[in-house]
Amino acid sequence: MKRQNVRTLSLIICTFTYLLVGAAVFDALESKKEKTQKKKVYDRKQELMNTYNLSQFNFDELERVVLQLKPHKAGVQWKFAGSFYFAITVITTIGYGHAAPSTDGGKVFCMLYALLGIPLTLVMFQSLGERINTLVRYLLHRLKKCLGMRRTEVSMVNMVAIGFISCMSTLCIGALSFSFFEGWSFFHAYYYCFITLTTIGFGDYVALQKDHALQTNPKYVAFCFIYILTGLTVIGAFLNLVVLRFMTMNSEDEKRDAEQRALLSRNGQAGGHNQMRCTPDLPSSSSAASGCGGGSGNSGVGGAGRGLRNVYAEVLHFQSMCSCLWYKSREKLQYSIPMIIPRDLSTSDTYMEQGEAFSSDPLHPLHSNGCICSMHHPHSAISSVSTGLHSLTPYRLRHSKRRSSI
Amino acid sequence: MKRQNVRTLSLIICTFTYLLVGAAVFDALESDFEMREKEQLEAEEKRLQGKYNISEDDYRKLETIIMEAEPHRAGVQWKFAGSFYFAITVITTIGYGHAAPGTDAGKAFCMFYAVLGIPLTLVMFQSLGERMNTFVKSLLKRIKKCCGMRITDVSMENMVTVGFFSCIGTLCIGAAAFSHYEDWSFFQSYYYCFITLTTIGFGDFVALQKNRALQRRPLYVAFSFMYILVGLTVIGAFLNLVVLRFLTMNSEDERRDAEERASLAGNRNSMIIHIQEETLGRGGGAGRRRRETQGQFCAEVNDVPSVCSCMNYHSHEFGSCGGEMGYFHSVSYRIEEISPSTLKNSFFPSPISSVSPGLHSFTDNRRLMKRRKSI
Repeated sequence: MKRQNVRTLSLIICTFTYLLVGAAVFDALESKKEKTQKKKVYDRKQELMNTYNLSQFNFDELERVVLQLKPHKAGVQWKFAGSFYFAITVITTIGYGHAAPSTDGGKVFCMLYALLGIPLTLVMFQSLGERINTLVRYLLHRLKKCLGMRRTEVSMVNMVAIGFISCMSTLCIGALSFSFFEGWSFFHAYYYCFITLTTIGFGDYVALQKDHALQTNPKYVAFCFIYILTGLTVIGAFLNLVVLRFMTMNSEDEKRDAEQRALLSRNGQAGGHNQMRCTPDLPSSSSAASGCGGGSGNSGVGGAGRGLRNVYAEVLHFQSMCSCLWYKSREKLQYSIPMIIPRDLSTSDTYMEQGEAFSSDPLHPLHSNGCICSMHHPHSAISSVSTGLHSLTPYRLRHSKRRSSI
Repeated sequence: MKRQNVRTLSLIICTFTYLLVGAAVFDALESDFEMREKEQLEAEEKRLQGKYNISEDDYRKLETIIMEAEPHRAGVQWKFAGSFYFAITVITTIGYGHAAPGTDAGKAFCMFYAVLGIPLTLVMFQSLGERMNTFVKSLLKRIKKCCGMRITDVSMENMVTVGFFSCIGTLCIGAAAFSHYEDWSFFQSYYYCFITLTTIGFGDFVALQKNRALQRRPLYVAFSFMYILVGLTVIGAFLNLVVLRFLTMNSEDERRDAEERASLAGNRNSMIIHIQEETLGRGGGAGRRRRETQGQFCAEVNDVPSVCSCMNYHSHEFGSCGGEMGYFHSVSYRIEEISPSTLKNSFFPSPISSVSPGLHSFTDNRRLMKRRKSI
């Protein structure tokens, strides 16, 4: 089965198993308390009802009013500060629900707002997160240099460690602040920060809902907004570092498969050109032969034009072809000045792209030197690899674009 | 300024502006209603307080009781079905909040559960979404062939259109189903589906909370779960199609810049040395020797790329002896992954060597130059 399908199926099975396990554990942890709490609340409710002689109907009435008043008790939710808070919860998909649009117009606008805002925010956080990762990598590199370490490269492990520590610190800083401002315990504040920054956003704990903070405490309001946005950036940077590459795995595999298929079909066409015969014609060819055979690193590829099965061989062929010519040219160097292309490079790369001109004169000398390394081949190998990957136009220096989230 | 920095700055500014505009519009849409509703409810509250002669203290107590009783009203939340529902809202980050862990142990487990579950789910949805996109693409190609169209290639516009309509279709199906089962209006159901499938999850509308559905209606429960997961896949597929490429733009640019720097530095060094040797030591033995060693250095340092460059230019030189000097420019046919040694001396071994094996491995020479693309 194709690799991508195996991967997808395993992920589905993993996720379902994860859900089942989670459900079982939550059941075990929460069911009992739910039961006891339900009973307690029920008892207290009965007691109150009896005290005031309320019927169930009356109580329902009261209940409705109380529940509806809940957001209002927490403060004015829809003035500018509150709306800004709400807008944040929408586009970051946190979605506490502490305030939700009551009017139909509000609901409609909310949906349209989310439609554009969520992708914008996703891209923004990943973009900023990547910048932060790059900066951190650079700083770490400098730090390593300053400390006089021998190896100043920044490894993935370094980056992950730093990312993880930043996430933990962000959560702890938030936990401290909110436990102070909101009067929660440290653990509850930590839980709030975690649920917020992972954008789950239950809404069981919501900041800025006490003492009309939205209206009366602008500094704290600003702090909250900045904390949420910065915290999401830190988490986003960590996700960019660790998770993003896995999200594009299937696409990459799919692309590679397509390239292989394209290459194989080209090989069928260009089979006749693909042979690399390094016949020792020249007196100096002894080294040339060894250069061609050994230097190419893969003499077995010589006849590979016919039986190429994968891109690896394809490119090895190109490599060996390159090496072959290089070794030939090295010989030449001893006797002549290497002529670097006098004409402009654009023509040369046109040739490379079209792959035709090389079949004519410029290649002829190659033949006479005994090293027939068809220039068709690299054309097919390289041009069939997706163009963004590397282009044969020299000036464009955009070589192999390899996706990496670092 | 570097492209990535410009892009990031513009995105930040865009997002802030978007927030400001959104806040202003929400203020305009909701403030009035909020004020009116608040007045009405407070009046009602006073009336009821007076009617039943409830003291202030007792009223506070009543409020607390009602708040605490709220989740219980909707039914048993933490039996297996309810816990499964909760687990879904955690790892998909929907997070209604209709039920939230009451115990501290539950909270702690919830956090650990999310740490592993959210990335797993993200990757799973993207993976499945990509498979769906590929499948749809091949289907569409078949259809185009069957319809006898001349161009059977499936363009991006085709895919985006199909994706968009699938999303709308999914939302409408959900809206119809939930408006029937939950007794909401079509609009409210649609709103619920939208808020759920974008994982915002306010919790103002939550399915499976009426008539003890979690315990009594297993088929409806199964349908709800399947709907949420399938809907998220459809949305995920659309995001994979449209948005994912933008998430990696900065990284790609950064990589390209690094490669440019490396190739410029690497090639220039070797080439310049090479040329100098030629001009200096034309016929001298010492010069020749130096040339050879330099040439060797050329090969070792840059291996394939400069070799190919040499090749490219020298291939033209075979026809003629002597003559014109020109400039080596950095032509690099960088087939990086084939010769890991290429990067030994390059600036940035770390990104490549430290890239996790899932991406491309140096050991697996088949994984050439992988370009991020979601189609």
